Formats: sequence, structure tokens, C-alpha cells
Amino acid sequence: MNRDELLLSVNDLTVSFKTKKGMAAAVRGVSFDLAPGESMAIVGESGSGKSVSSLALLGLLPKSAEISGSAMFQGEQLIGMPEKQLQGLRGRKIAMIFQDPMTAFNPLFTIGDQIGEAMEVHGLASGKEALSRSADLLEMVGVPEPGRRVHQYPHEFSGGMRQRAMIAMAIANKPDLLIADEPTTALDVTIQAQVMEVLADIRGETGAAMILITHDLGLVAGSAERVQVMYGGRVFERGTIRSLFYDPRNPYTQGLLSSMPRVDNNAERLVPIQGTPPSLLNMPSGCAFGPRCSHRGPECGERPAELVEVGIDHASRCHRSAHIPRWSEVSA
Amino acid sequence: MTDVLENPTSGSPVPSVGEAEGLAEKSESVGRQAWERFRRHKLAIVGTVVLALLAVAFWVGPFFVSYGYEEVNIIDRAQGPSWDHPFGTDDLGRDLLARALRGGQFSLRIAIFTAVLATSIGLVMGAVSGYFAGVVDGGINFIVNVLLVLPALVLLALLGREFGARPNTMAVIIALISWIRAARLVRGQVLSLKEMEYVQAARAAGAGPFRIIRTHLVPNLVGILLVEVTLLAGTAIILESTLSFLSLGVQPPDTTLGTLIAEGKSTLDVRPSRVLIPGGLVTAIILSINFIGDAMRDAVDPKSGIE
Repeated sequence: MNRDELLLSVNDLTVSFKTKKGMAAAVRGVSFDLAPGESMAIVGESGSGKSVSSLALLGLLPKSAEISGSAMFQGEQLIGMPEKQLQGLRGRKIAMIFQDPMTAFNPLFTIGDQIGEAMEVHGLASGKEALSRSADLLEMVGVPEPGRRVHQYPHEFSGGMRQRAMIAMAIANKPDLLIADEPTTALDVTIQAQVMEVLADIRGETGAAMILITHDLGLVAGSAERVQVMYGGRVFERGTIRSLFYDPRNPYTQGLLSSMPRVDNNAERLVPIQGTPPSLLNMPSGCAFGPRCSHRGPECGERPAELVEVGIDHASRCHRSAHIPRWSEVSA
Repeated sequence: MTDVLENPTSGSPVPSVGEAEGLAEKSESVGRQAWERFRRHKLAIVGTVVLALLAVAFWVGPFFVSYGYEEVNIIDRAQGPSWDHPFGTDDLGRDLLARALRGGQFSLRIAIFTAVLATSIGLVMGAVSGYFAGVVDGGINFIVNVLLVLPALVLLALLGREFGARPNTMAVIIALISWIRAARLVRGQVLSLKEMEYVQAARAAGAGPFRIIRTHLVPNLVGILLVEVTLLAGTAIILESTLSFLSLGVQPPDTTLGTLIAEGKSTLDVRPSRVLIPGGLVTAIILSINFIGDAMRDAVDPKSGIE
């Protein structure tokens, strides 16, 4: 694809935090491209750098964070952009959906006030107009009786309804990019599917691109076109949904998939990944996943692996790509 | 909800719509709930009534007293309470009822003005220092610490002697010294509030720092600010009385309750009413304000037992 047509192009994004015990490298050289309207998922365990990289894009990290690399959004460099300019972008061009809808609303104001505020901040609507548009937005995300619900307070909304309201708030200004940070983690499983459906519908209507950050591979399958698996601040495997689910080439991705229950799998037991994720302060000198990997070889302890193409639009970061059994053989 | 409880036979619980309606009624009465909690404090009700009566007396009373507060009448000087002068007269024969009303008016004015001003300064300083952290926080903390180590009374005495002759400047001086506690309270609160996800969400929506402080932080601070205002009002009256007692406060012929107590102290043994009456008024005002403050603290704290 032509670079000019890309909505977002992230190149070698690196984030580290100054801590008392030294530098903690949270994100180490992440790159990806996102076309307008496209949906990409970033999957990883806690501490893999998935949330940090998206917060870095919006300039929402604390001052102790050191960010380098490049992130071009609609032709503008996001990294190092002045705060004032970022404020104009946040919520207008790039909007964020937070994980916990319980705490992401101010308990003192009505839902309508808060959705309206998203518009007022950017001077796009105010007062009565903002309120009536808030009601329209609530209707769009499937909140029943929006006219009455805009006057209610967050505590009167159930978790699912509140997450819908969060989505309404995020799309208030028709952003070009939605960043959904674990949008369903705090919700019941039955509600999760509904919320994801709402997100898909909304994206269909507004044409917004989405970065879906999650640890739940099951959620990814139905709602993203491409996936990026992160581990220890690095991208370990990236590819289309199809290639990643049917032909994962990286031992970590394979481990994630075998630790997930599946209806079509006859295996009697789930296979967990042994060990724990590495500490950000003390990364293994070789491959970050090396110590937990069952296919580990001598070279894995020596230097980090490179992300290499293993198929069409499919790359994996592994020294032993040639020795890793194919998923079709493992899961059969 | 109540329907279900009252009619256990009425089948399965009503779906979410009914439940939401029940909750809606409750939410519209957030203010009412606060009032309910306030009302439970009998002393606070008494305090409110007493304070209201005193305020009316201080401002309207002088129109019904036949003597002016600065009207000197040497013949009638140093009298005890009588029908003509219910509170007696002072050494210059000025009617003490008229002077007590005038003094009360000034004391109350200083109290309210000071409390509101000091709390406002504290709010701004505390919110800015808590939200921005870093250099700004350090600077404001330095000012706070300096003011804390300097003996307040000495500072007040110095400033009061220089500028305190008028009630309004007096109020400003007291406010400049007593905003510290409010600032520290607000700062602590802001430090915890700014970590709330909705503040993050507001930032992600493109809101700037001052908008966040104004729309998300300040409304959450109203509770502690209300309490702080009432507490400061009490402190201000005491401070003003102390200064006036040391004759560093409002200058004659104007007067405050503190000045009246100071003037009466020389004749305390022969005419204790000259100290007891203004003293009693000061006590009544401070007690009332403190009772109201106590009740407000409970009223604005949702955790203090709903229903």
C-alpha cells in the first residue's frame, strides 16, 4: 500500500520508564501500519507493552516515560507533538475506549453531560444540541430509551450499558481511529459479545479504524483483520487473523492458543505456558521468551531474534522458525 | 425493587427497565439525601436558627436601637444594664447594645469573607499544586511550609498593625494566613482524584488541564470545601478577636466583638457583663458555625449511612 494512504504508521516505537531500579523497557521497537477503516488487534499478557504503546501514541504517558521512534498519523508526527496540538487530536481524530466503564465516568455528572463534554471540549456542540446528539449516540450504540438515559448518572447504568455509553462518548466526534484498551475485560462474557458487536456496527457506520488491545485471543477472532502478538515489549508474531489462528509459527503464539479452550479441539487438557513473563527491569539477554520456550535451542540465549517473514503478510520472531512444528501437527 | 420485596408472590423480578426507574427516583434526590443527613443533626438546626437570628439582629437591629454606636454621652457613662441601655454603657457613655450589634456585624462579616476567601485561595493553590506536580508543586509547598513555620499570630500582628484598621483588609490579612490547611486538604484530594480513570478518560478526550480541574476535580471537592469554609469562619472570628483584644485589629470608633471584650476587661471585676455579653455572642457564633460544619461534613459524605 502507498504510504500516503496509511492512517497510522508506527516505526520503531520504543518506550522506557525511569525507575529507581534503572530503566524499564516497556516497548522495544514496535512497528506497524494501519490503513483507514482497518482493524488491528494487539494481543499480549500483562506487561507485554500493549497498552503502553497505545498510550504513547496519544501522549498520555507520565513524564517519567522516554519515548522514541516515529508514529505518523495522517501525515503528522505524534511522537514529540506539542501538548496543545495533541489535545486537539485526542477525542477528535483519535479516541480511546477504556477498560473499566465503572470508573471511566465521573460519578457526579449525568451520562449525557459527559458524552456532551467530549463534543464541547472540541467546540463541536454545546448545551441542548450536545444533549440531543448524546441521545442519538446512545441510540446508535443500542442503549434503550436514550432520551431518558442521558439524564441518568453512571451508577444507574449496568456494566454493559456503561461500556456502550463509553463507546458513544468515543465516537462522539467521529474519530478516524479508535483505540479500545481491553474494552470488554470488565464485563460478563454474555455482554462481551454484545459490546464487540456494537463496536463492529459503529465502525461500519463511521468507517473508523480500530486498534483493539486485549489479552483475549477469542475476542480477536471475530473483530480484527490483523493481529500483532506482543511479548516483553516486542512484536513476536504478526499476520492476518487467518494465518495467526490456523498457522501460528511462533512458539509463544502457539502456547497462547494451546492454553485457550476451544470447541473444535478434542484435547482433554489445556496446555499452560510454563513460567512467568520476564521482568521489564531484567530482560533475558537473548530471546525474551527463551526461558519459557519448549523449543529452545542454544542460539536463543545469546541474542534476541529478528522478526522475519514466514509467509505472505505473516512474520514471526524466532531463531528456530525452521524447527517449530506446524500448528496443524501440534493441535491435531 | 420495593415492589418485589413487598409482594414476594409477584413472580420473577422486573427486568432492567423497572429497576432503572426505581434508581432514577433515588438519583434525582442526591441533594435531598444530603439535606436528610443534615437534618438529623439537631444541634446543626439549632445552630442555623441561632446564626440566622444573630445575623438579622446585627444588620436590622441597629435601626431599632435609639442610640448610635459612636454616640458619646458622658453623663450616662459606665452604667450597668437598664431599660434605657439593656447592655449598659461604656466609659464614654456609648450604648453597648448598639456597639455589640455593630461589633457582631463586623465580626460575622470578617468571618464569612475570610472563610470564603481563604478557602478559594486554598482551592486554587491546592488544585494547581496537586494536579501539575513538579516545579509548581514544589514552589507552592515551599510557601506553605514557610507560612507554617512562621508563628501566625506574630505575622497577623505585624500585618494587622499596618493594614488591619478596616474590617475588609482585616479579612484579607487573616485569609492570606489561613488558606494553608485548605490548600493541603485540596492537594491531597486532587492527588488521588487525578488517578481516577475518568480523569484519564477526559484527557484522552482532549480536555486540557484547566478544564479537567474545573469540571472533574472541583465538583468532587465541594464536600471538603464546604466543611473547610465553616471551620475557617470559626477560626477567623477567634483570630480577629485575638487581634482586636491586643488592640491590633479594627480601630475605634468602629468595633468588633473582640474589641468589646478587650475594652471590657479592665472592669471585669465590677461589671462582668461587659465581657460576658460580647464573649457570649462570639461563643454563640462559633458554636453555631461549628455545629453546621459538622453536619455538613456528614451531609456531603455519601458513606455516612444512606437511609
